[in-house]
Amino acid sequence: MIKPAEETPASAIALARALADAGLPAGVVSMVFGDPAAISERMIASPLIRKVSFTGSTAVGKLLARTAADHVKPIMLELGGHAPVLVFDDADLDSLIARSVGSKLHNSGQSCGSPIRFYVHESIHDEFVRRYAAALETVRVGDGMDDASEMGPLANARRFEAMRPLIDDAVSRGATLAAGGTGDDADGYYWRPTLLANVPDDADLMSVEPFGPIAVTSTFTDEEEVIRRANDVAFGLAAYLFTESADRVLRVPAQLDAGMVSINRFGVGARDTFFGGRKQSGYGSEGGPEAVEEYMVKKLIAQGF
Amino acid sequence: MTAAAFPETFLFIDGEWIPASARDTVEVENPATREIIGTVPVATEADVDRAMTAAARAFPAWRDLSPHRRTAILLRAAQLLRERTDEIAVAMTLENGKLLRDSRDEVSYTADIIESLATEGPRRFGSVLPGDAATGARCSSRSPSDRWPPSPPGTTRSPFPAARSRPPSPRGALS
Repeated sequence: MIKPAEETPASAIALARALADAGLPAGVVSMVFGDPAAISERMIASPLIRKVSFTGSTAVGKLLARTAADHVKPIMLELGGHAPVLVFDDADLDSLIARSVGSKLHNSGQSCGSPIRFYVHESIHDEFVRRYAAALETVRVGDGMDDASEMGPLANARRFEAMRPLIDDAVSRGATLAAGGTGDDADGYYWRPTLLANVPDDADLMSVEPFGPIAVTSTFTDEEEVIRRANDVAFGLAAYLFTESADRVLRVPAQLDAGMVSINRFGVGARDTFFGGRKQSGYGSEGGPEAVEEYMVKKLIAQGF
Repeated sequence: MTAAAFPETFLFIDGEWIPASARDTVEVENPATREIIGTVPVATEADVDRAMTAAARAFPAWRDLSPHRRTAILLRAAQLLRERTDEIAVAMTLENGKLLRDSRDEVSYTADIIESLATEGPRRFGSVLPGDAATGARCSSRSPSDRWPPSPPGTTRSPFPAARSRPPSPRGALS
């Protein structure tokens, strides 16, 4: 049984339609929309439902996990993220900046693996901020149906309204607004790609997932220090490392407390691999052999002879 | 700009498509324009119960189908998604706002994931522990099915029944 988001029903219905047209027997997949809380409660409470899988916010994931616990149901959770990007002084800046623009704009930053906290070595921080901000300022934000658009709107009014308080909080704590920072919801939920530089660790944006086109920077000098700060959030989904040092490539990923680490690239997950997080980013895998295991039960059968 | 029509929506319960006209509805908004582009039907409690009962009823036959046959159905579904990329991507952009080219990529990636998981299913093996005379044979099995216990180890050459996969969980905008 699938309960998709009511805001985006057509994409989900297309999946159900393809399964039905491919010959899936009636009843094997059903799809319902409605009041998410009421439907979830009813489904999880039913003895007919043996497993729960949820992709969405950490707040909702916690509610569902509590409900599942009441019925001792296994649950798989793919929740929020707060991806750090560790940029060492030997990183290829040209490649990093080109990739940082595309990755941040993807789905208007509304992705659990979207890069958020750019920890940039102090020797290249200012150059990175200048060039990244300049690139973000040229982005054409518009309707996704228009081929000229390079980033679409936020998905709803709630996301749009969440941007301003996060930015104001960071600036009030001493951060510098380097790009964007404004939105216009007259004809759609458009927010400019936003870069905040030198954001202090106690700013909300360093721990709250913006789920929008906002990136922040902070400087570091020491490898041990930046790994500690990268790991010092409640989430543990994606993490990114940019360096040309082979030693660091071998050393740093193992110390990052994240379910998925990409080196010198953005994006996580490939079609045949594990996909999942740690800590409050959830548990279980939505990809690879591990995802199939999620839907199997184990049993010991012993026989005397 | 958004002259493209948003498709009709349905509940899908036990193989039946229930249109929005048959239920209360909530509105669907295009975040690029703030226009209401459609509605989606709201399931009643009876709808949810019927879907769950149908799933429980349909599961044994689906479980007992050959894993290779189940894989074939899922691969066909992935192929249908690919063939329908243009129309699905337009609907996805209208309801979510993402760039049309990103919507097209997402349809393709969804098909990729279905293909990956569908072809993983037939090769999920259990394990056999030989045991000894004192403790008896022991074996550990993995399967969503309780239908077929493994053949007694040491008495036949039969492998464990292959573990079974269920339809892959959708991800991204499809979830």
